[in-house]
Amino acid sequence: MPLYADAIVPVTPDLAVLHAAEIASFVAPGTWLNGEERLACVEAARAARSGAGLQREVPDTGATPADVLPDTSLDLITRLAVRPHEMTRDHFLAARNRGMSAGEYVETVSLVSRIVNVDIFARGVGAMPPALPAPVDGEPDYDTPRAVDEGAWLPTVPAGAKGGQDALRAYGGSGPQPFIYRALSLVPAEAVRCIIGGDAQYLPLDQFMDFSYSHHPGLSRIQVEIVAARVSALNDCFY
Amino acid sequence: MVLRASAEANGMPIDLRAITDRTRSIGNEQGDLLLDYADAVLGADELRLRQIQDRIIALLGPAALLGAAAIAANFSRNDRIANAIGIPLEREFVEQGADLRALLGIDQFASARNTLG
Repeated sequence: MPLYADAIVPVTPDLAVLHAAEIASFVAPGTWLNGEERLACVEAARAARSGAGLQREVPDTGATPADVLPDTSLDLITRLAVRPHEMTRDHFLAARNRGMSAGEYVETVSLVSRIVNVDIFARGVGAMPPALPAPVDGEPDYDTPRAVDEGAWLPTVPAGAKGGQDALRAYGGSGPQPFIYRALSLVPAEAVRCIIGGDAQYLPLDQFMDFSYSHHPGLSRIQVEIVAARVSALNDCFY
Repeated sequence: MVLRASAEANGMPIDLRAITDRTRSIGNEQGDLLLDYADAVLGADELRLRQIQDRIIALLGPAALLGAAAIAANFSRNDRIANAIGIPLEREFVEQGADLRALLGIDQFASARNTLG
């Protein structure tokens, strides 16, 4: 069955292709986590959100995240999936002090945030959360870019010439990038997915300051920003 | 802040306080419906969500619902990344948005500490 065939409105091919790529990425070997661990992260996030009544239950895949992931990861995943407004520096430091590496932390945050993205979209168009395939064998690539302290809790790759080849790899170009797109750059593959998602679901970055532009034919730019602003308020997101 | 800028650029007066105070109207029926949608898609009431989805399709059309779902999804992702990585807001936006943040109470968010200290 095509992705989102059960939606109550037609889903355009660009969004269906984006989400199919997202789903494939969840089970492929990553940067610090293998496919089984990545699948466990997204399964744990889904279970937490289903348990909180925030989304429909997905068919049981037989996955048991608790057998794959340490408690530190599961605590982070549950909080971020269900209560993102509670995330503080203390929670970040607790995860790091309990042995989670910086790369593992960033990759986990990205996976949880991206599966919530997929599942809220599905819920938003009246569809069931998409099924996840089996994990793909293989080892993480341990890609380690040169990152610096730019003011976040973790180092990030500077945009533009300062970031050199690592910036090209993480951002797909040499221009300036907002902090939200640099946030995951300690794991360049995850930063790439965040930017691709933003381009398709919100708008291409080069259109950001054109307030007459809307990437969505059914909504004006103001209407787009109304939804965005309310969602961010509900998530207590200052950024 | 982007909402205020887009409203000003398009000459459409809206009550920004409705973003954090749902007892207020944002100033037009479509905008209030989209606020209801954001609340419902992030909430737990399936029936309420379905009613709002149907109203959006009737009032704004199917493409509007698709767009609203994409935006709600995208910002649900971005908000989690921002809150969990502790990124600060860009300096120019901090200065430009001070009055609006005070109006909406945004400086009280836990994640405000990542920018304001």
